[in-house]
Amino acid sequence: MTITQVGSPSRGRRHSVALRAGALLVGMHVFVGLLTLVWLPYDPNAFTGGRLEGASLQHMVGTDRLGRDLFTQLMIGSRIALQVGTGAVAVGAFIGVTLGILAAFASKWLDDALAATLDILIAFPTLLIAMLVVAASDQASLWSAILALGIALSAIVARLTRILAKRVLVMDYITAARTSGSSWPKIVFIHVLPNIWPTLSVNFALQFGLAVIAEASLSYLGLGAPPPNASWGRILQEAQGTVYTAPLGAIAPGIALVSLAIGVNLLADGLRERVDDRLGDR
Amino acid sequence: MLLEMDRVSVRAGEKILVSDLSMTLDRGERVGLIGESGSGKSLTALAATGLLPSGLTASGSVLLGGQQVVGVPDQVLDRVRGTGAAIVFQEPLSALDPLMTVGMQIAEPLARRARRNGAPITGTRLKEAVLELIDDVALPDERRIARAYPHELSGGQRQRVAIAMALACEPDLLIADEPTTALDVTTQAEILILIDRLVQERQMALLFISHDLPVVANTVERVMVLRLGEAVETGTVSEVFNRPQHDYTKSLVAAAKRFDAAMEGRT
Ligand SMILES: Nc1ncnc2c1ncn2[C@@H]1O[C@H](COP(=O)(O)OP(=O)(O)OP(=O)(O)O)[C@@H](O)[C@H]1O
Ligand SMILES: [Mg+2]
Repeated sequence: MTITQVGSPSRGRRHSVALRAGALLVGMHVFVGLLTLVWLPYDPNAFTGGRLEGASLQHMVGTDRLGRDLFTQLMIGSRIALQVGTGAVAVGAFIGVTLGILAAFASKWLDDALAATLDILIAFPTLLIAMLVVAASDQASLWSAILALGIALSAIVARLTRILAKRVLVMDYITAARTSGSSWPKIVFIHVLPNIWPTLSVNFALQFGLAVIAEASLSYLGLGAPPPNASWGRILQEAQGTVYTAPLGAIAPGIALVSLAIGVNLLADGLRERVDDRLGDR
Repeated sequence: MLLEMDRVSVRAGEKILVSDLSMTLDRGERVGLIGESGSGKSLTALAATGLLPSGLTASGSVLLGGQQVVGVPDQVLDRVRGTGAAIVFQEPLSALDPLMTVGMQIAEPLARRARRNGAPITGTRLKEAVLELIDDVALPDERRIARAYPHELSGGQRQRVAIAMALACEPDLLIADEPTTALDVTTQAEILILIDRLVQERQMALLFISHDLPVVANTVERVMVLRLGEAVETGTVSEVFNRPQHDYTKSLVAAAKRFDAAMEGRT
């Protein structure tokens, strides 16, 4: 008892730092992403300056090799990253949670088969699966990238959901609900999902970070959202040839990407500690 | 007959966990199920309600309130469950959903039961019914308890909540699976008195499970002694206590008497 009392204040402070720093970084990107819907410094496709200009008051991070404003493109990149991250996690969560819950209820052999399939899928890199899905769709678009990443992430979500749900399903309060005549669907929504949600949500935050990085990789490889969607990965790829003459063009999208990824991970970390604190109460 | 179990066996694959168990329970009757840890008491209770965990199978026949339970799909049983029997579990920690307030957890079966009775209750009326039930299981300060989460309650309080949830089903049979094992002696006695009173007031039948002979003796009329999944002895409390037939029962009775003697010597 004494140990918890001595230990918890410092723990509380630590998690609030991670949570706040994460929220700040992610919040910044969300703000910028929303801003692009109503205001942009320049038309992202207009040639508004000289080619490969350095940073200046007019062009905060310079211009690309066609003379378009890079900062404008980075801002749009924020919106695309968030769109893809949110979309991919939503798709992955929907497919993954549904599959995971079904597996938890399935008969033994079906459950074993599903678990083995998931393990095999998870052994493949997320990016590879996403590339295959994009390749299977006839045209690369923002939506095909979201769908591809969502499907790639869903295996991890499904496996986690299955394990967490099984742990809840053996609890006495589930059997008690069964004795009182509650049906399985009702039990899933009332007891199972709320109880696995804290742990799942931490995982979703991590998946979001993975999706953002994977989307940049897809775009870098030319499999992401096509122009005029200025994804960070594509900006990076376009800047590659001129990286020695105009390093800013490569550094800036890199920083944008890393700051969002770190922000999301900090957020996940802060969330996890909160969840641990809460589950520790049990 | 409220509960009729006829040569019920429970298996895990090839392994037999409960074998050929027969037992009957009439309305208003109180029966104790005794046996050491792992003897199959909990499985017997689960088999009686058709709630065996996946991987375990039951054979034989169980009639609960006239409804066959063995080999009948969940969809059919869901409709009759709740009215037939309700269970209070051994482990007060896992008996309640940690993320739901106590009031909500009692309201759930209460609302369902009312709906099935054809007189659904909602809103304030439901809230009042919940508070009434909390009061019924002798918990103080109903409003605070209703708003509390399980981790904010003591073990004894949690067990009372679990009892309230069972009562909410208005069952004909209350199954208490070692409801006091995890509690200290004083709390244990209070819970026993509470169950005794509630069973009497509501004219429920009681199946009381325990590994502790003396605990059962004051609460029930008949007992069944279970060992390694087999019923080795049945009879009225005084029969089993005074003229135990089976060696295992004899050792149980002797242990109980030694325990009593030790308790008297101490006071
Ligand atoms: N899901 C399961 N799968 C396989 N074996 C099981 C399962 N549940 C219980 N058993 C076994 O069945 C036997 C009886 O278990 P049960 O839970 O009925 O014992 P119990 O009499 O209630 O004991 P306790 O007093 O410790 O609660 C034990 O040997 C146990 O290992
Ligand atoms: Mg048991």
